[in-house]
Amino acid sequence: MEGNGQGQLVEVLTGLSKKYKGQIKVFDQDAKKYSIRELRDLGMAHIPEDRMTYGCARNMNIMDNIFTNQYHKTEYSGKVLLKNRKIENRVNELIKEYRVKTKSYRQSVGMLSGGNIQKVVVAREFSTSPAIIIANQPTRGIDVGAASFIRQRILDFRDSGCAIILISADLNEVLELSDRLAVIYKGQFSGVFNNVKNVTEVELGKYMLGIKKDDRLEGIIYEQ
Amino acid sequence: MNSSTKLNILRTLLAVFIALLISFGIIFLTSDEPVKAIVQLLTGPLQSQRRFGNVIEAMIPLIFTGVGISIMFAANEINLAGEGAFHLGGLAATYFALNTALPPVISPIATILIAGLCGMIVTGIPALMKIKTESDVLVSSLMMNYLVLYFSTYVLSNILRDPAAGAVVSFAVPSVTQLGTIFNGTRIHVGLFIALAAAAIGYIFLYKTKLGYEIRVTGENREFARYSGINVVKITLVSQLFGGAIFGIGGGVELLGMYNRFTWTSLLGYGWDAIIITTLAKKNPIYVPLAAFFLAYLRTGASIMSRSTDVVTEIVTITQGIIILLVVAEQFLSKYKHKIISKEAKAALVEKEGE
Repeated sequence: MEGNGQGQLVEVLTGLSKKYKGQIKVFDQDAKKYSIRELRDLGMAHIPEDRMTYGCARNMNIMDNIFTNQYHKTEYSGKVLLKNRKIENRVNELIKEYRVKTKSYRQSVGMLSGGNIQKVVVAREFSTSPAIIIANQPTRGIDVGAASFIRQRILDFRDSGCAIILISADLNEVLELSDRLAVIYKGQFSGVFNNVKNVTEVELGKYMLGIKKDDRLEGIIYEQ
Repeated sequence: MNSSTKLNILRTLLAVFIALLISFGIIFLTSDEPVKAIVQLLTGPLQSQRRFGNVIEAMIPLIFTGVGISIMFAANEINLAGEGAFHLGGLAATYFALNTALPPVISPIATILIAGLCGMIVTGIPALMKIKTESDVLVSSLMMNYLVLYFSTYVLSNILRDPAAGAVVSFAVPSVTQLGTIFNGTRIHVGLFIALAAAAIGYIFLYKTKLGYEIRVTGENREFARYSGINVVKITLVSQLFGGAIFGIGGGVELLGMYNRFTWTSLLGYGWDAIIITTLAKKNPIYVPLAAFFLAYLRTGASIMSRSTDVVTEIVTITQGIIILLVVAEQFLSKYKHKIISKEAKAALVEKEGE
């Protein structure tokens, strides 16, 4: 259910907002001192909720859009110049791997369908082989094929040991993909489930509406 | 070249064509000798070497300003202090050239670099004000131009003024610092090469370097750039410093090439011309020389026309206005664009079925 602070939570986790109390740790380091670029270089990937606002520049082509988080790495650029040939090769690989339907990388992103734009976003975020993925509504408003493709990718990353925070309004998606599940009500965790298979939508609903609240969770997130 | 680039070129050419037709219509309505006027407007600049020289001379500053503003606008920051940067560039070049005695070759280079530095300051101040105080760049940069103008006029009349000269002009810049002419019989100066180099460097900067890429991403979508990890504050500042430097260099080159004394007591309007140029060139420095040539040609033609017929030069202002209106009007040729896109999509579909 939207409007319970998911947006703010993601902003804080991804470094877009530094206005928070408490502490976020990335690899045992305080995240507050890192810029967004540094967080990303540490292995954070972020699939934004609103792909047209945060996820792409609609008038730029696929190549320009798919590289914004890694053009500065030594593989793809020198001190001043971009290594265009290498970028081009990599972009073509990514377009193929993520099945973006387009004639060439010169197509501007705004001309693609929603599902294909999302594939560009996902390709960009996943291509850095991240260690942490924060996926906010990764399959919202896209076609079934693209959605199942993206879900499969998320599971592949889970299997390879990547930490993933999935935020979704689609309860089926949450129940299907998650290993652990947490419900936030009024800015606090109201329920955390380690065994997702036994959770029903009805039960989730109670936590989401604040009818039920897990008292053990005051202030703690979860213990492994 | 993909279809959208082609379409953009077609749109621009068609806009120019329609604007010229409308201007011709106005000439026919108002002039007693319309055919002669139109012939003069279109072919006047080609009639003698000197006239064609005028076109190239007028083109040089337009290239600098066009490139400068393309870089600033690429970051989607409407900084109009280019006008002032150009002006101060000219003043700084004069001041520096009059107060130093450097050997030939080094002297003009150093002078032009100083001019560039001053241009940077002029466009940098509104950019910094935006960062520190959230003030609107459009407003503060426009105000900046007047600050520069009156500052320059003060320096000119109190420090640089040559009392022996009849008008309010500075002392003459030493000839070692002046830029030599390339072709005899014209006033085309070495600045032409510097201008073309600036266009090439501007293009490479925006499209081939990391910084240029960051500027373009920031300009297209600031939120997206920030989310991607780009330091958008730094990038917008850099784009305006770089753009201002090119304006300043343009002012310096124009002064050393076309004038030998600082005579500018009012704003020259190059900042506005730059907007026309960048609109025609679609913010791409590589197309700026073409757009600058076109504008310079049209203006030279108009001035020849007004000298030999009863049509005034202002007709070109109307032409410019119509061109800009048509180029920026999103809906112009939108039906045709739609047709092209759907045709391409259908072709792609057929291709896929064939597989």
